[in-house]
Amino acid sequence: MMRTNLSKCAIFYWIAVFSCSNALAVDYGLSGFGTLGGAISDHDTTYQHYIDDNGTLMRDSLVGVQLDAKFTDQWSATSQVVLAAATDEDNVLKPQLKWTLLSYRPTNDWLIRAGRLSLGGLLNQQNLEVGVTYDMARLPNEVYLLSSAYDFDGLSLVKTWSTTDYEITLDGTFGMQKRNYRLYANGSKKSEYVSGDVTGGGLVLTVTDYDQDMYRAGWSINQIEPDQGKFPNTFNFIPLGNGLYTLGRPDFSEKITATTLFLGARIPLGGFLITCEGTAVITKDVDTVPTTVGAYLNVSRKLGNWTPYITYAQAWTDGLDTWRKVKGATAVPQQGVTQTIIDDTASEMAVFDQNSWMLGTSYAFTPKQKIKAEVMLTHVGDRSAMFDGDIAHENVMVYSLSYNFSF
Amino acid sequence: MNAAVSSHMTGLLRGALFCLATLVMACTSSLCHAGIVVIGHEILQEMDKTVVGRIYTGRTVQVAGVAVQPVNMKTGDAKRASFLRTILQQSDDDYVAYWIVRRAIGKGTPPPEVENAQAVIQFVRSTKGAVGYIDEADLVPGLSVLFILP
Repeated sequence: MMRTNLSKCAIFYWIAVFSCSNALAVDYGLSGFGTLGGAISDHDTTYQHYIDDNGTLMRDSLVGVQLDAKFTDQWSATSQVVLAAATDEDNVLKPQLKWTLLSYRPTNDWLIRAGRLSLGGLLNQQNLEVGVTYDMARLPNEVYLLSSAYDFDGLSLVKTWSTTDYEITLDGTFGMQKRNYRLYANGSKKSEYVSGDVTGGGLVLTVTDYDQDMYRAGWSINQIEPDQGKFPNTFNFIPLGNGLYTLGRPDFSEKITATTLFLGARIPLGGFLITCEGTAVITKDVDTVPTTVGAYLNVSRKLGNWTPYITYAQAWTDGLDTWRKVKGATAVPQQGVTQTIIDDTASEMAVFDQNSWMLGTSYAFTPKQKIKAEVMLTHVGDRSAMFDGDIAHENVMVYSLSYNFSF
Repeated sequence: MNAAVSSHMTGLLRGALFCLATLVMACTSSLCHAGIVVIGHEILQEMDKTVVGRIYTGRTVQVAGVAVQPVNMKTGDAKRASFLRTILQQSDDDYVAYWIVRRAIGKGTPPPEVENAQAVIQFVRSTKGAVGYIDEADLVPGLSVLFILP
């Protein structure tokens, strides 16, 4: 509802701006970007919603347009609409409002923004959709999986300190949003989307040397309230004797709270560019969404128009024991606990135990056009909720090719 | 006598070669930076290289209380390449890439681009707080010289 209202507000807002543009002498700027990307794996289990051995264009392809308007020296507005895979159903492309914000910059060191905006805790979170702005074919899902969870309809205050050698920026963002979370029920073999209201915000500190060096640390707290019913947060188990047990009725809560920590750095080193990022999503007493840590290290080198790179990424969840226990429950159909319910419950837990090696390159025709190719080897440990289905102790190869542009 | 003339001629030749070398070095140096000057609307005062760089990267939007409006030459222009290399130590491609990111994250739009020095001068004269760059030879009265590229 909130999302729809903001979309309507954005439309009315731009109509009003266009209507008054002559009187206000508004300067407009229209730009766009897009990615046509294909990916195929060597496994029939779907990875990252779309990638399997049939191949897909849905995972990475998108097109976006951005409208910038400058009203005065201090007031401006930006709106970005992206046509990409929907966040509330599978196999559908939908237009999504990414940014719509009003900016006020009274001085060099203050920037105040209101509207739909992103916290930006990850180095490429705010430009994630603009593939031409980075060289990796796909930003590591081990870290970027939850990146859109930090978009808010709210307010952002940015304070900048400029020293001779460094620019230091502190960004405080808070607001709310309606989010859809995709769950895959492996017993029923279907995906479902649950929606919830998220209220939260955070602080992000960035230090740059006016060139390529960048260091970032961030903190965010989010409170999620599901729209329908309560949130199952703690599992209960009923002993059946002889070491066997079955699932009992879980404990429910009306909301869950997640704290996220971000840490990132981008450092040129002897002709190479080293990029590393880590996130920790910390929850307390929530079996269904346990604490998860993800990190990656990327090393790239620009060689003319080519930028080859290698990346290692890993995600690990502090909830694998609970997942194993759920998975090991015994079906007791008389008590309503079927094997399908057990499989659905286990697969809907946000549990990750995987690592990936990525070897790829980008080729820049111009700063506005890039082709990227990548081979990714993902090893799944006991379980990874990035896969739709049971896959454990296996390797999956993913081959990706994309054309990225902006104009 | 012959030895004295020869010595004198050698001295003259050395002197001429020194002058020629100095002239060549001076010309080369001048061509390297293409004699570029940063000009501004008459309301603006002299500024240093750091401030000019921050204006062209969108980090500085006001100087001494005046809102600044930078203007760029088109991509591919030799003066633009020289200006970016001297002021920002960046290639034109890196500069374009920088603005693609900055625009995509909602932190402003790149400076408008014009075709030639006359268009820069016209923009600077008619826009309060405007900043541009031209060849020193194109300078005309009524413009503030904010910075001379070394």
